[in-house]
Amino acid sequence: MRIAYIAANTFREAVRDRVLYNLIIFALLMIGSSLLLGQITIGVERELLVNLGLTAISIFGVLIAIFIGIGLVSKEIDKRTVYTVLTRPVQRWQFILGKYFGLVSTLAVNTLFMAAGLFAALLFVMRRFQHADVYVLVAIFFILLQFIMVTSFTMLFSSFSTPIESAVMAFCFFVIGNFSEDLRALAAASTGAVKIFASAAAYLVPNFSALNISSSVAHGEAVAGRIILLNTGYAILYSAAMVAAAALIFQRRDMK
Amino acid sequence: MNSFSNKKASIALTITIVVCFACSVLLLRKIDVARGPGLIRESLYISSPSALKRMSLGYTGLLADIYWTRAVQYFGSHHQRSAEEYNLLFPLLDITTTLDPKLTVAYRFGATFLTEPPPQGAGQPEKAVELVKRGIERNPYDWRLYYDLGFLQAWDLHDYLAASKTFEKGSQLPNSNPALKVLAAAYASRGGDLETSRLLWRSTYETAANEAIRQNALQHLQSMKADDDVSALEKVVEQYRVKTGSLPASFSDLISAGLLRAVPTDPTGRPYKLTADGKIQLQDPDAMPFITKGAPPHWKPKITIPKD
Amino acid sequence: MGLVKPTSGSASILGGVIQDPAVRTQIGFLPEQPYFYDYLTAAELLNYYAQLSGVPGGERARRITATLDRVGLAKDAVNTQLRKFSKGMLQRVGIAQAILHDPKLVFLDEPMSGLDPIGRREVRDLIASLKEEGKTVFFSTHILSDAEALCDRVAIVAKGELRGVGVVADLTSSMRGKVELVWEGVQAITAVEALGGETHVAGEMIRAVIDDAKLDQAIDTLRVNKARIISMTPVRATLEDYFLSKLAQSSGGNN
Repeated sequence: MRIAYIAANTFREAVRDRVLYNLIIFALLMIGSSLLLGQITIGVERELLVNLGLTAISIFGVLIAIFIGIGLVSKEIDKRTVYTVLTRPVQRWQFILGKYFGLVSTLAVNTLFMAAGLFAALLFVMRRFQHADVYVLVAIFFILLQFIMVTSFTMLFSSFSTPIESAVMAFCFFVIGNFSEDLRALAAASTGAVKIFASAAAYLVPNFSALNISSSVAHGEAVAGRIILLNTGYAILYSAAMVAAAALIFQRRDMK
Repeated sequence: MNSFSNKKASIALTITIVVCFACSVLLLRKIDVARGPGLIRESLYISSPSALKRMSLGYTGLLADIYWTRAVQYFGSHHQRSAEEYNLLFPLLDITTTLDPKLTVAYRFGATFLTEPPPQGAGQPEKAVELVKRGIERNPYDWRLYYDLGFLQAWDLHDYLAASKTFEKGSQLPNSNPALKVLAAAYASRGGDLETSRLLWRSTYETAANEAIRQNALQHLQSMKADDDVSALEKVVEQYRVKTGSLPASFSDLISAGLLRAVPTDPTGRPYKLTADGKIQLQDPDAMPFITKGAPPHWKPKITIPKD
Repeated sequence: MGLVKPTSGSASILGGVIQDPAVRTQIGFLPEQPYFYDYLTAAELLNYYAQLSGVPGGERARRITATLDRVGLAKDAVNTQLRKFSKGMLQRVGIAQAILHDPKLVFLDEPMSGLDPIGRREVRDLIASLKEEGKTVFFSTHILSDAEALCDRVAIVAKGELRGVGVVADLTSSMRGKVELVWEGVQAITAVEALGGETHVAGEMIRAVIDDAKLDQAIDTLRVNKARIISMTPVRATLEDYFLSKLAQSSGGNN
């Protein structure tokens, strides 16, 4: 389908972008350095490795999602490359969807490599795998869910603002999203205008609080299957809404 | 209308946005419920408060506010279901005050609610003292923390001399409330009698800024008044029995006997009850959870949300 | 082309509307100053476009090679990244992507720009050959002589407004023509110039261009002045003359 072709092209573009490699190298360095730190502190090697490793994967993935995401639409328009695509039998929403899936697959492949790195380091430190490592996998899956959400709202911003503005807004959404549970608690405890604003914000920003299970997983805690299901559904629905909004804006836009 | 109009696409997309977003909100609420206290538990997974402070990259004030909000939320949700334990309250307040040693309200909140026995609070007076003493170290010119320490020493530790000394020290600080001088004198001369206790709670009620603390103090005052009332009324019943040789059937009997002027009401405005065996009881003991008299048998204090 | 939304009205093309993807498979488009994904090679780019235009998988490689050949792109450039291409090469790639999927209708916006005279000649030949294949080519240009040479029908647009549409010959013939007179006899110069023509002396011969209407008068004048007429040639109005006259008309009207 055309969406797949556009996605493949976006993937190819991302892979040929130098930014990607710099960030991957940094991430792997971080994982490597946590091995070193593990030698220094006693008894917490696994905890440290899992915490630091997951944080590295998460942060650098989000950086990639934002850095490439801000250009997904605006770059095509600025560079006029969009003209020869949209005059072909491609619908506007197909274009947006293709670009979105292209970046998401880039992130997925990326995460795969970094996860392999992390598990290799884990094996090196612990000499064998334990049952609790399954939940590290769940944590990585949750990080991937965060990526699909970050990409979705970054793309939305990219469809109507300049790259710098999009980057700033996306970053803000990411940070606030990590405290979204606190925001909802604040909304529940307040009244009047504050309550309305806080509630709107609390449901508009992505709920990353529930997806940041790095610390609990580092402690070997389990994750309930129901939670995994709910979070997956939520991430998909939220992203769908954002991407649809991006498509709507792009639909109505004149190319000049 | 051809099937490729932009309008159709716009409508379809708008519907998608609304439906997906609405469903995401529904799922989000389910997730919040399923997680329950997960956030609080995860908040405490850091190795130590000082490590967290180092990791916060200079945003300690903001992070302290976030943890303070979590502490209040934790307390509130436990309070609402009359919990028997508040184990995470101290760790949360510990982190809050490590991140921002000048957040006075956190020390004061801890002084009150770490001390109160469950289900009102955590029932950990030693932790409360530890917290307030740390607060004084970091804020040596804040008279309010001296007030709290003196309060703890008087009310929980029953060390009236120490309390008096603490109140005295606090009264010498700039801008201190005159109540401190009064309390210092009271505890020095009279120790822990009822009048002094009443003075203590009244001072707390009048000087505290945090609404939860004030409400708590009010409930103490009302409970003490209720206790007084119950004692006095039971004496009146005794007088009636001596006079007439039998127990009164109702308050009207006491009124006709000239021992009372009207049906007595408790500090919350509800009339007292007269039991068949001549005892006085409160209509709604839950409204004054600190009473020691006048409670029906098998009554255990519960939390009520005080009405404004 | 579906890039900018219309303010009002409706338009149909190839029996359908532009938003219909089926219609768009029949259309090729080269924008002015085309920009392409510079991280792709020419082959990758055309393959991508072929995919999007619905060229069947088996056909693609063959079509791409054929088209690149047709636009004159060197074989070794095919697998080079586009960021290394010159303007002329990019223009050729641009035309290639416009005709790759064998559309019935081709829109070319300034197809000659960026090309040297050889390139321009090649593009003119290409457009002519597309015409022979039965395709309709719609192109825009500033170079009126190209339009005159290639086009069956022409539309003149000045200052954003349509000033004239029609078959080239009809348009130019609507203009009043001129006649070129060549004669011997310097004595007649003043008289002819009085009729409004400029004279050029070249050796023995004098040349003047005068309005068609004044032809009879001019011949009489020459006879009277005993000049020897060498030749009398109608000068056809060019499209440029037509364009300039339309421009002058409207600005006169606007004043």
